[in-house]
Amino acid sequence: MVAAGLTWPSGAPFAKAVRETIGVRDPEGEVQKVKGAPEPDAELRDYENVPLGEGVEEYLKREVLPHVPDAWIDHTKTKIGYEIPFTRHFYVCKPPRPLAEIDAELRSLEAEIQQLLGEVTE
Amino acid sequence: MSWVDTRLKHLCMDTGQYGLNVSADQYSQSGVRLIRTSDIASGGSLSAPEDGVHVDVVVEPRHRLRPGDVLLSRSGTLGRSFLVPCAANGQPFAGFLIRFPPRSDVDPHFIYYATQSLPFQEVVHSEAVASTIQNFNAERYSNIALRAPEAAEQHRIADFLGAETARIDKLVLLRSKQSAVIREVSRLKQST
Repeated sequence: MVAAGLTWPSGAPFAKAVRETIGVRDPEGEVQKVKGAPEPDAELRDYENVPLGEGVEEYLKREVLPHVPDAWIDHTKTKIGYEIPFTRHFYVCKPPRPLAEIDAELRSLEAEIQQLLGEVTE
Repeated sequence: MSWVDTRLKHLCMDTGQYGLNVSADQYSQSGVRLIRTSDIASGGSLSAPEDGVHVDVVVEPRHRLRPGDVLLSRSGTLGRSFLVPCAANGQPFAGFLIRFPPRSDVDPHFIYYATQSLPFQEVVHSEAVASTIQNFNAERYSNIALRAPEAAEQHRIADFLGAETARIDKLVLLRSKQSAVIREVSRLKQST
């Protein structure tokens, strides 16, 4: 609300706040630009884990651009770190039983059920 | 037929959205229904409204479900996936779920079945962060590798799996009915 006689706030921060509050993004819409450059959409920001020793630009070209052709890297956000994935190192895969084994058990159970059912419904 | 090596996030419109963070003491008798893992059956149907919980809050658009969204559980029932049915359109989802909306050229049923595949589940369980409760965040889910064919093949695969799982679900239902009838026969024989 603005008191009588006063003007609405103006300027880029206010316009941005209004747009963020009541605006709706259109994924198919035209690219918005600020001073001639595409305006970043923070909601589309994504992070990638690039193996140490591999160039980030190479990684972007190989892993990201085929899927998101207009993606770019904000190098101010780049961090170097490491992860020790304990669960992955100690994980032991339990494969499902072979389908043939399950089928054989099903057939055996079915035969037993049919035999008993025949005795019950005699 | 060409298949591409990709990741979940590249088949979806975003990299995963967390649900509404409300605690159980905020559940109310009125308001909008909050969709939880226990509200969606394996066949995709929504449980009865009286079995659900409601929240009396203003729900932002990002927390509203759309039919065809895929929900993944990030803790507790880690790795369980759900395909949002039409009946849940516009309803908010719980905070322990992550919503992935498939792209318009991707079959949501294909994504749903792909998230239940052994390779996908193995990644979830081998890379889960284990503390008191295992958890798996949106970034990790969104980066899981998937192989996907073109749209027409996705439809064929999804239709095939849909028909096969429906047949098995019907078989389970018939077996359940048979058990009830056998118990009825047992009671009858004991009473005569």
